Parts: sequence; C-alpha cells; structure tokens
Amino acid sequence: MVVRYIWFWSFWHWSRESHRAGMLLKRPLEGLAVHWDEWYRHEASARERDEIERLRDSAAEQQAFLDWLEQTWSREAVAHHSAALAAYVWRELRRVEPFVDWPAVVAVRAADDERGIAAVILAEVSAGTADDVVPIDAILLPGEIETDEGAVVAENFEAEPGDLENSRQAVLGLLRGRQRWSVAWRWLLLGQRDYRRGLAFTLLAGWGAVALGLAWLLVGPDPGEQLPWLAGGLVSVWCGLVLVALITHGRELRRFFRAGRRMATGFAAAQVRLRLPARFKLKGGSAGLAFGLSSLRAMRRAWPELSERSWLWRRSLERLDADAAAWAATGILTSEGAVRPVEVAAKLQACRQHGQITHLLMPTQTTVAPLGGEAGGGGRLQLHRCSNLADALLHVAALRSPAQTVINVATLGLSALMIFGLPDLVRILVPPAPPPVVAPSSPTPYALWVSLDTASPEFFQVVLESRVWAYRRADVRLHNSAPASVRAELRLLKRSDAATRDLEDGIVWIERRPCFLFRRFEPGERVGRYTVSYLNRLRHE
Amino acid sequence: MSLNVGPQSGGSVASTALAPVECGASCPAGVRALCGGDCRDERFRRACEWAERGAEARRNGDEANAEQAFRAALAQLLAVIEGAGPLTESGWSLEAVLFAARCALDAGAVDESRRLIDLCDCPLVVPVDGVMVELRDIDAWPDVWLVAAVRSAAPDERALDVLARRHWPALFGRCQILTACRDQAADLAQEAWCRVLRRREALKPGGNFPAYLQRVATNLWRDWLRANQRAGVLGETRLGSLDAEVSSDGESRTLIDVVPDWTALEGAAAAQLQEEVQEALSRLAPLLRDVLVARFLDGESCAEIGRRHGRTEQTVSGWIRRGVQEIQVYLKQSPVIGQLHSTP
Amino acid sequence: MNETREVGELLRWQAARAARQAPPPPRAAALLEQIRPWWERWPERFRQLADSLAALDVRYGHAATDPRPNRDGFLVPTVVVRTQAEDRTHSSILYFAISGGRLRLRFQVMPAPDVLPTKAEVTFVDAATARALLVAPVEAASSGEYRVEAELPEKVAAAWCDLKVTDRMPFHLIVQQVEA
Repeated sequence: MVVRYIWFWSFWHWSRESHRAGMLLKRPLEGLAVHWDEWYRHEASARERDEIERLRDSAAEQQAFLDWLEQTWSREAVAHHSAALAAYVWRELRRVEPFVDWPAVVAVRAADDERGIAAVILAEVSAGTADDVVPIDAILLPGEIETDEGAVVAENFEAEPGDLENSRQAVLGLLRGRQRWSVAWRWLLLGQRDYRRGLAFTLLAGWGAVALGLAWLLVGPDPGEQLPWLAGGLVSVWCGLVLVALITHGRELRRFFRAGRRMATGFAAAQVRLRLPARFKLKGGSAGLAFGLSSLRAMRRAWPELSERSWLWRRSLERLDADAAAWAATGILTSEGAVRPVEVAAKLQACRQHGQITHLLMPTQTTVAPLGGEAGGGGRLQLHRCSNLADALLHVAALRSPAQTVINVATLGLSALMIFGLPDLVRILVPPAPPPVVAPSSPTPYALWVSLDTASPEFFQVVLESRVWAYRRADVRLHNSAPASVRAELRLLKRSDAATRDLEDGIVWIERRPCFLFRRFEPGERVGRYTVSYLNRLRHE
Repeated sequence: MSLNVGPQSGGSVASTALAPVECGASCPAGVRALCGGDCRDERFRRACEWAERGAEARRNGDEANAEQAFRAALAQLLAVIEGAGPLTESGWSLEAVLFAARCALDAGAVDESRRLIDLCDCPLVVPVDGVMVELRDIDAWPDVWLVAAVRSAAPDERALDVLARRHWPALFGRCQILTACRDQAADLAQEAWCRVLRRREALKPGGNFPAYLQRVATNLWRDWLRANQRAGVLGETRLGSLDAEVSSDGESRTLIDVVPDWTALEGAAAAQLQEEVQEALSRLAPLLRDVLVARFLDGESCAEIGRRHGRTEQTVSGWIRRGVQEIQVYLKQSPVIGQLHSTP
Repeated sequence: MNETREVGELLRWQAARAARQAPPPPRAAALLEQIRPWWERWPERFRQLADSLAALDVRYGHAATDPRPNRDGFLVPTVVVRTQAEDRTHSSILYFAISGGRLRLRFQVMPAPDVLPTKAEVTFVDAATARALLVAPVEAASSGEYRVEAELPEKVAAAWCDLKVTDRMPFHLIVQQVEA
C-alpha cells in the first residue's frame, strides 16, 4: 500500500507530539493553522517542502489532496470521518502558506469565505462605509473532537463571551426550543408550501369548489331536493382538503421538529468557530443576529444530510447558504432568540454604500433613519424587520409568500364557516329523528303549545291545519318562560268560515326544515302528526 | 613565546585532582625557560603547576577552568613578586614579572598585564630575548591573548581593534563569495562580528578564531537565506528546479580550458577576471553559492552538506556539478575572458 | 589539475582578492556600542517599561473544577511599544520549545492593540528580578501572532529547558517596533 502525502503525516505527528510534550498550547486540530505555519516554515525538510511545492501547479492534484483529507486522513488520524471535519481542516489550511494561493483554494475561497452573512461593524468614527460591512465565516467543529476551547470560538476578533453564547443559545432554541414553534406557526400562516404543481392546482380548485358550495348554500337559490347532494359534496371536498393539509403539514412539521432535534444534538456538542476577515474588538452585541444566522449556515455545511430530511430546513438553510452574500444583519440576539433594537442609521448607510448587500435584516423598531440619499444606490436595499431569529430565518429563506398568505386566510375563513356549519350539514345529510310531542301543553285555551323532545329545535317547524282554527306555522325553539321547554307556540284564532263547532278539531304536523347557519331552506317532509285533542290533554307542567 | 595551545581536544582538567608537580621534565618549556629549572620558591613552583593546568584545560577547550588556572598562577606569581621587593639585577624577579604578565594575558586580564609590564620600565631591567617586545606590542600578540582579552565582560578595546584588523579582510572575502555583493558582504561581516561579540563569553581563545568567525558568518548567511525562503523571496529559485538533471554535452571542460591561469594574472587582467568571476557567482542561486563554499572552501563532504539540506549525497553532487557548470558557461561566454585568452 | 580543485582554487583566489580590497574594519568602540543592549543604553526607559510590566502581572487563584491539567496556559504581561503609543496587554504563549540552546517561541498578543508592529524585536524580562535577559527580533506571523527564534544565554537556557507551554512563564515581554 502506498502512503500518500507523507509530509502531511509528518506535520500531523509533529503537531501531536509537540502538544503532548507541552510545546504547543493548542490541541492539534484547534491550532491547526498555527501549527502548520510553524511546521512548514521551520520544521519541514527541504524534501517535504519540495513535495508540497509540486502540488502547487496542478488543480487536479490539489483536489486529490482535498479528497484524501476527507476520505482517508480524517478517518485514520482522528477516527472520525466526516465532511464537517475535513471542511474545518481545509478552512484552516487554506489561509496559510503555501495553500493560500493554490488555484483550488482561490476558487473555493471566492465561492465560500467571502460570501457569509455580513455583520455591520462600524469603525470607531465611521458614519457608515462599505468597509463596515463584514462577512462572517462560520464553521462547526464536530463534537466528537476533543477541544480545550469553549463552545463558541471567536477567531481573529474579540467579543463579549455572553454575546457569542447568546447567539448559540438562540440557535439551539430555534432547533429544539420555543423558537421552532415560532417558525412552525409563521410558516403555517405565511409561508410557502412544498406542493407539486398538480397538487397545488387541485387543492386550489378544491378550495374554490368549497367556496362556491358555501356561497350557494348561504346565498344561492334553494337547492331543494339537491340539498343533501350539495351538502355531501361540500363536506367531502372540504374534509379531503383538510385531510391533505393535515397530512402534508403534519408530516412536514414532524420532519422539521425531528431534523431540528438531530441538528440540535450535533450543534450542542459542536464547537462554533466564527471568523472575521480583519481583526476587531467588538463593542456591543449588534452582530449577534449575524452570528446566529452564520451558525445556522455553518450547520448546513457540517451536516447537509440532516437538513435534507425536512423541506422546511432544507429550503431555509439552502437559501441562507446560497444568498448569504447579499444579506447583512444587525440586531442584538438574546438567548431566547428575540432580536433587540440597535442604532441603525449608520449601518443603513454602510449597507447602501456596499455594492453587494441588497437586503438588511434589522430589529422591529421605530427609530430608523430615512432611506433617502443617492450614495451607493440606496434604492436597491431592502429592509426586513424581524422580531426574532425565526422571523429572520423566514426572511432570508424567502419563505413568506403574500399569495400563500391570502390563500391561507381564505382557506381558514372557509374552514371556519365549514366548521360552524358542519352540524347543519351533518343534519342535512343525516336528519334528526322525528321528535315525540311531550308535556307541557298550553295552560291557556287561546294558544296551543307543541312541546318536542329534541335537541335540534331549529330543524323543526310545527303546522296546524284545522277546520275551526286558522292555519298556523311556527318555529320550534327553546322557551325559557315557565314552564321552560322546547316548543312551538301557536296562537289560536277561530276561522270565520269554521266548518265545525268542535274546538278540538285539527291536526298538528311536525315538519323537518333544513338550515345552514342563518339560511333556512324550504320546508321539507312531515315527520309527525298529532291531533289537537291529544295535545290539549297533555299536562300543563 | 606564549602558552598558545593547539587544536582543542576532548576531556577536561577540571575533573583531575591537582597533584604536586616536580619542576623539571613536566614543566612547560616556556616556563622552564623563565625559571631556568630552578623552582626553589614554592610559590613559583605552584604557579608553574597552575599555568600548566591552564594550558592543559585550554587545549581541551575547557575555557572556564583554563582561565581559573591562569588566574591562580597569576595570584601565586604576584605573591612572589611582592615578596621579592624591588626588581634587582639578578633577573629572577624580572622573570617572575614577565611570567605573571603572560599569565595575566592568558587569563584575559589585560590591565593587570600592562601594570606588570610597566613595572619593568626601569633602567636596571635587562630585556629578555625580545619577550618584552612581544608583551608590549599589542599588534604582535597572538590570537589567544587577544581573544582572551575580548571575551571578558568588559572587552579590551585595543585588543578588539587588533583582532578586527587582523581578521576582517579574510572574513570580508568569504562574505563576498557568499553574498556576491560588496555591500551585503560588509553588512554580513559586521553582523558576524556583532554576533561573536554578543556571545563573547563562549569564545575559546585556544580555538581557531578566524575559522570560528567565518563559520558564524556562513551560518548567518544561511539564516538569511532561510528567512528569505520563508518569505517567498526565493520563489523563483525553488529547490525543485535545482534538482533537474544537469545536462551533459559530453564535452567535459575544466576551468583551466575556460579561464586563463589566474595565478599568473596580475594588475588589470586579474581585476577583470575577478569582476567576471564575481558576476558568475552572483548569477548562481544563493543555495548553489552556499553549497560551493561549503564544498570547496570549508571542505565539507557532499554527505555532510546533504544532511544539512535534507538531501541525498547524489543530489548535492548534482548541485555542485550544476554550480560549476554554470560558472563555466558564463566564463566561457564572457568576452572579457576571451580577451584575456588572446592576451599573450 | 582536476575540475574540483580548480573551482576550489578559483574561489580561494577570488576570496583572497576580495580580502585585499576589503573596506576598513569597523572600530572596536563602534562594534561594542552596536552590541550594547538597549536597556543598558536607556536604563530609565527600561525601568519604566519594567514597572509597567510588573503592574500587569496577574496573581492566579486556582479554583479548579476540571480534573484535567490546565491547558489554557498563563498570560504573559506584555508591553507593545510603537512609535507613538504604548499598549499594556498580555500574550498567550502558543509554542515554546528549547533545543540546543535555541528558543523557538510563538505568542499571540491578546487583546491585541489596534495596530501591531510588523517589524519588531522582543525583550525578555525576568519576571522575578525585572532584569532584561535577552532581546531578539520577532517575525510577525498570521492573526496577530509573533514568532521568535533566538540563541539563549547558557544560564537562561538551563533554567528554561524544562518549561512547558502551559507553565507560568518566568518572563515578561516588551515588543518594540523597529524602524524599517
């Protein structure tokens, strides 16, 4: 077996032994760049330097070396084969000689390092210039690697440890805490959906049909005998739509939560290494939001397979990764994930002056400088106000969709109508059983009470047909006056053309009458028949 | 006549007990010449013993013990001198003073030596075989006394001046070969002197001082090379290019075929040749100049050079061939050399 | 006459010619002045900086919660002297090795001043006695780090040879900008 890249092994063993012997402060992985610099400049033999130099002119050879780092070295050297580790090692190496100007490195750096989410870090006396917009390079060192440093490491800059830790806690909250619920409900209400075109069209058509059906039931012509069919169709379509929504959204949310938990497990154990291109000593925590988003971006790079399992995560992190160069963020991020207000006037100016920043995430606050001025083509800069990290993520991922929001509101309204009207629809489809007439009867001879034993009084009417008394039709409803009962009260009025003198002549019919919310349809079938004499003989109480 | 010692060798007298020594066969020749083999005074005899121990320690490179021994000898002799009273015509005390002055110089105590020599500025004193002249004339002092005077905490300026005058030209010559630039050579030589003086307590008067000086200069030059290499200055002359095969056109020419006999050249012709050789050297990669110097001026083997550079003996051999070939090619094409050839 | 001998002779001849044309040697007084360390030439200035360093010294109290040995190392009081400014800060020792009497040291000034001199020399000051031990040029490395490679005096080398990078260093540092 041919051992390749012996020089790298020489370096690695020197680094490990020197750390073990108490000569190097940092562990081999943590101080990789520094150790390499020391080894390459002062320990490497001329032969080793020659071998490294030979890789300089061949991009293919350099790529082979990168592959070897990921597939062979990481497994053999630290018994941990992961893209995250190889990515970390490569990021460290590519900023030191001789890798710094390798063609493969230059290409990667152009596509990678300089395209992070930017923080707006104002120089001491700056009123906002392009130089104040600083892209953040973040990477995760997997938790399996033993380290001596903290969970968040600021490379090349100094910041309050509390600010860095807040960003980390906020990201953890987004992955497995309360913030994920915020993402979930915001997405459900405002966010785009991952429907295929055919399904999306079908769903839209379905909701259209529901809307039409409801309109017909509420304000359309009386469907008459078609009513059960109409109600059945409406309920079926709506139930189908709701079922599809519940299944698709439930499944996506389940995946979202599960992937979030897995990423949180990895993230909690991992070390976040944040790097700024120039040395800074940060005063204030307005870069917190950018740190949080950069950490999320780093996670996508560390564990791409985890975010692949959830469309919501994949979409969010992909966009965060791909569009990062156009985004800047400012705002204090609390450990709960809330974005607190900051001074933004100079930061807006800085973003306007920057050629590539077209979006600025900022806290929800009222004190914003006017966006006037021509400097730097300020018209292109879009402001996105966000109250928390979840909100910011949705903005960057472009998950907010006005059209979808309108559809969601409409479907929620339709569903609310359906839910309110569902009992009526069910009773149209499955009519309630004919209720028996029960006491009390009317205590006065001028009225006729028809008390029914039913829980759905609104669905029934009572009709009096008599040769003595005038024709009467009355709704059944709950009467609270004593004695309380569900009944129809018919005021008796003698007919002028009475054909008989028998005051107990007459038939009382119980009719079923379908209704939907406020709409009552034409009376339906007669489901009960009682004589007046029978009703008069019922107890009064 | 001095107690100068030869090349250093291993071992140390510090570990051997000081046993009484009979004056006679074991007495150093120089000392016997002074005391005439007549060590009747116990203190004089003990001074001889200490001086011998000092010489032995210096031969072994144990400078700390050597200086201590010479100082002990000086102390004994000073006691003899003070006990003898004023100098007399007998010459015995004069010999003791001269011996003490020499011990003082060996111990690096230049001021004490001068004080003793000044004692001899007396009409009654008869100079002893030119010894006085040697002691008085600092320009005549051997390196061992000069180095001993310089290595002390407060170096003797006059001794340092003499030492610098004596070894500067050769050092400069070496530096010019290394750097191929007169200004850089002067800088390098001066830096070498500073380096030596900063660590002057490590100087060994019994050693080969000019060789040490040149080694320091060469090491400095190599440090500069390495630093430049780290900084990427040597990017255009990477080692890889030097490892390429040396082309062989089958025409093996020696320098004598290319260059007229330089030992016979004089005046303007020699100056012209010197210029051309300088130009040829300056065109070589610094590494090649370093290797040629190590091989031809320091006499290092290819294996030794290879170890220093982390290369095989064959590689170094290839570098040397390449260096020589490049000098040959340049000199062969030089019109100045052509003119020198045609000049009878 | 073979080629090897010829090259050797030519080089010797060339060296001898150069030696004959050598410029006059530097005067002893000039050489001695040149090697005099700066703290001897300006003792007051050195005393002032040494006092600053002493004021920066940190007394460490150990309230360890982790059974593992300390891996963070100790900060070394450092004064960074630039042309117009003087910054009192600390340094983290990243690499410390002594081999053959030579010191190889890498340290990072933290917190780093706004501007770090790229061309500088560092003076090691004995932490206990506030005496200057040696001065050496420093090489600016990446990310605010400095690298030193220096020959140590024998006594210092003997005293420091067992030090580990995580030990408390027996020296303080003065980093001084060197004019180009």
